Amino acid sequence: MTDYEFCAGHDLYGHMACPGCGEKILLRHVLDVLGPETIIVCPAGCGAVTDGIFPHSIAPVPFLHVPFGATASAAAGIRAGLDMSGREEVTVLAWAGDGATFDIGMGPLSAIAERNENILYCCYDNEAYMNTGVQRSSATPVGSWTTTTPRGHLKTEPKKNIGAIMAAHRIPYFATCSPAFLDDLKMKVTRAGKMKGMRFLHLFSPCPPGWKSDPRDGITLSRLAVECNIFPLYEILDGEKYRLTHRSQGLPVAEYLHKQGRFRYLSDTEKKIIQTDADQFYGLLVSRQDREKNR
Amino acid sequence: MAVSRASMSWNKTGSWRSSTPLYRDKLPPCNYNCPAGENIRGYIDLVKHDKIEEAFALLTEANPFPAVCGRVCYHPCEANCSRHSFDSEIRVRLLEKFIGDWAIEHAKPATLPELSARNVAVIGGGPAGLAAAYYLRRRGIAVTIYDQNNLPGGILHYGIPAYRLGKDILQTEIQRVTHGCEFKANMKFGADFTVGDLLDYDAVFLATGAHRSKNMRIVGENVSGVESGLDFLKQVNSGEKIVLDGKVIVIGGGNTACDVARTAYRLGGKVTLVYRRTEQEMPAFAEEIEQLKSEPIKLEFLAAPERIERNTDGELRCVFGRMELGQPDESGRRRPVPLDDAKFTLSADRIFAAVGEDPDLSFFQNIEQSSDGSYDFSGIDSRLAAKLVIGGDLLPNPRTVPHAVASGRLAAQKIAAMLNGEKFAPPELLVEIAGPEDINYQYFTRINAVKWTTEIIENGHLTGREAALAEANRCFSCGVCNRCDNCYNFCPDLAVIKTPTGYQTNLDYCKGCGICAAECPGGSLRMKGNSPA
Repeated sequence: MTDYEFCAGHDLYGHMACPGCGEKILLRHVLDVLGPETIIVCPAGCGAVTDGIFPHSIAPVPFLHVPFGATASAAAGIRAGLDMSGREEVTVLAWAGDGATFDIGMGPLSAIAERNENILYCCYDNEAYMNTGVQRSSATPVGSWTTTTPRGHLKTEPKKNIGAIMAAHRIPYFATCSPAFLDDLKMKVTRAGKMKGMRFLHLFSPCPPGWKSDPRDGITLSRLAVECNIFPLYEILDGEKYRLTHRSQGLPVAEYLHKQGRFRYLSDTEKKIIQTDADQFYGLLVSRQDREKNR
Repeated sequence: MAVSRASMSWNKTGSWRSSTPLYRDKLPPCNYNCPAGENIRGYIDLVKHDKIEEAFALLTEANPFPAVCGRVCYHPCEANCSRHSFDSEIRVRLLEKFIGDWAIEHAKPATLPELSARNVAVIGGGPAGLAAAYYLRRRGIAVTIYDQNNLPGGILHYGIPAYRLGKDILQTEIQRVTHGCEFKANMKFGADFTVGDLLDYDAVFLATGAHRSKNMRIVGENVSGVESGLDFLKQVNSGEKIVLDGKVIVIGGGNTACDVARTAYRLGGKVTLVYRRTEQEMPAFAEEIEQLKSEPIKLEFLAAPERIERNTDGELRCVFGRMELGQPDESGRRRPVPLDDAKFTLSADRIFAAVGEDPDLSFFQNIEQSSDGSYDFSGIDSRLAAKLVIGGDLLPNPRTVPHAVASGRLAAQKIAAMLNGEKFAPPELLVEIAGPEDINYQYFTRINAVKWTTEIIENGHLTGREAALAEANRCFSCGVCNRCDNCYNFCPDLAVIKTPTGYQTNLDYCKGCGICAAECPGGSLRMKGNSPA
C-alpha cells in the first residue's frame, strides 16, 4: 500500500486478454494500491489463462495458479504459511472469477469467511464462464443470453446475491467496485487492504465478447450499471453496517441493456421486471443504510 | 514447482489491432464559428484559472474590442456551443464583456514598439479601420486614421444606440485601441482630402463602411418626414435632442430597423415596424428581434410600402400592400409576393426607411460591383491601387462588427507582409471540429439552467469574478486534451504512456479496443481505422 502507481513500473502488457477486457483494468488498479507485498492466488478462469504463457507472466508479484474450486483453501494455506514464517504484512489476494466464486469455489469460500481468515478475496465478475465460451453461472443476470441459456431459454433465475451471502458470514468488510469509478475503487481497496480478517471485494468486470458489446463501451457499461442501479456501489461492515458509496442517478435500465447483445432477446415485460428488481435492490440498500443511521 | 520468471513483453499484441488511437487537438465549435477568429476556448481556460490578464492578452490577439463585442456581437459561439443541448450554452459573450470591462478598469497601457519609417493611412475609423490601426501600430508601423466624423468608432458610435453600447465604454476602449495612432477627425475622403494626399503613405487601408441608405423605390419617399433610419440614428448618437411624440413607422427588418424602432420608442414615439416578410425571415439577429418584441412596439408583417403621400391637412400616410410568402429566393428566405388588391393605409408623423445600406464610393470613379458583392478597384489611380487594401463592409462579408474586426486584422497582416516585400498567405484553419458527438457527456454534470442564469447574471452582466470563474468552469474545452488521465487509467493493456506534453500510445501492445477514445471527455482522441466491433 505504498506505491500508488506500482504497476506502471512493470511490464503489464503483452497479456492474452481480449481487447477491452475489464479484468485487466481492475487487476492493475487493485495492485497499484496493494503494492509489491502481495501474493496472488488465482484459480482457473480468464485471469489465469490471460496472465501469460508458461514460462512467462505479466504479474509483478507472485501469482499462484490453483485448481478451480480451491481458491479459498489455497489462499488460507498460503496465509498460514506466511504467518508461520513471520510474514504477516504480506497480503494474500485471492483473484477469482464469478464461476470460481459464486459456483465452484463456494464451499471453501464459505469456510474461510466463517473462520475469518486474513485474506483479501476479489471476485472479478463478468457474469458467466467467459473463458470457456460463455456458459451461464449463478452470477449471470436474469434475462441474459449465454450459450447454455440460448434464445428461447434465457436465464430465468436472478443473479445470486453474493453481498448478502458474505454479510451473513459477518466478515469485517464487503464492498462492490466498478472500473468506471476508480476513486471509489481505490478507496475501497485501500480500506480493505488496511483491515485484518476476511475481506471480499465484488468487482464489476465488463466482457465485450461474452456480453456481445463493443469493446470501447466497457467503461461506459460499467458506469451505466452503477447509474441504472444494476450494480450499486456499496459496502457492508461486519456483515450489518450498510453504506452506499455513490448516489446513483437512477437512469432507466434500458440504457444499460440495449448496448449489449446478450440482452437483445428481452421482451418489454422482462425489461420492466429487470427495472423493478433494480429499483427494489437499490431501495433495499438505502433502507439498510438509513436503518444503520437511525440506530 | 514450475515457475514463470519472464514477462510477456515479447508478445506484441499490437498486431491484433484493427483501429488505432490518434491524439489530435480539434477546433472547438466556438472558435470555428467566431467571425473575428478569437481563441475562445483558450481565453475561457485562462479565466477558469483566474488569469484574467492573460485571457485579455489572448483575446486581443484576435480582437482588440472585447468590451464592444461583449455587448454587440451576435455570438455564434454560443449558438454552436456543445453545452447548448446538454443544459445551457457557455455565455461566451458575457465572459468577453467581463474581460473587456476588466481591461477598461485594470489593463496597463501597452508598451508599443518603436516606430519604423513606414506609415499607413487608414480611411474610416469604424471597427475595421481601428482594428487595422491597432495591429499595424503593434508592428511598429505609424498609422494615421482619417474619419469623416468628429469621434472615432464609425457605426459603433454613430449607428449602435447607447442603450446597447454605452458611449463612455466605447470611447474608452477606442482610446486604448488607437493608442499611439494619429486620429484626424472630420476628414471626409473625396472632400477634405483626396487621392493625391495619400500617395505619401506606404499603404492605404480603405474601410469607409456602408452608410448610404438604400432607396425604397416607391412614390413619395422624398416627401418631408420620410427619412433614412441610419441618418436618424446618427443624429441621436451625435447627441442631438430629438423628441418624437407622435406616430412613427419604421420600414425594414434588419438590425438597423430594429435599432431605429427601439430608439424611436425611447424618444417617445408610438412605433410600428413594418416588414414585408415574416419574423422568421427578418435579417436582424435573433437577440435583437427578441428585445424588439419585448418592447411595446407594434409589428406589422407581410406588408410592403407602395406609396407615401401627405394629406391636405398635413398628415403623412403610407399605403401598404399585403404580401404572402412564395418560393425561397437566392438567400434561402421565402420571397414576399403581393396579394392582389389587399391594401391598407397607416398614418404617421415620421417614417423611417431602413431597408439596407450600401457603401458610398463616390470618391472614386469607375468602381464596379460584381455579382458576389465585391468591388473592383482596378479602375482607380494606379499609384493608389498598388498600395490599397480594402476591408470592413466594402468586402462581400456579412456586415457585422466581428467580421469587420477580422478584416482589419487580416489587412494589417497583409499590409505588413506587403511592406516587407513578402507574399501574404492567410493562416490556415484547423478544420477538424470537435462537435457534440465528440464529447463524452457522462463526465459532466447538468446544471439547472434557469437557476444558474439568475445566480450569475444580473442586468446583462456576470455578477462578478466568482460568477465569471464559475461560468468558465462549465466549459468542456472541446477538442483539446486536458490531461484527465482517463485514457491512461482505463487502458486494459497499459499501452498509454504519459509524456511531458500529454499522452502517447504504445503501439506494440495497443489492441485497439477504443476505450481510451470512448472515455475521452473532450474529444481530442479518436480511433483511426475500422472499429473492431
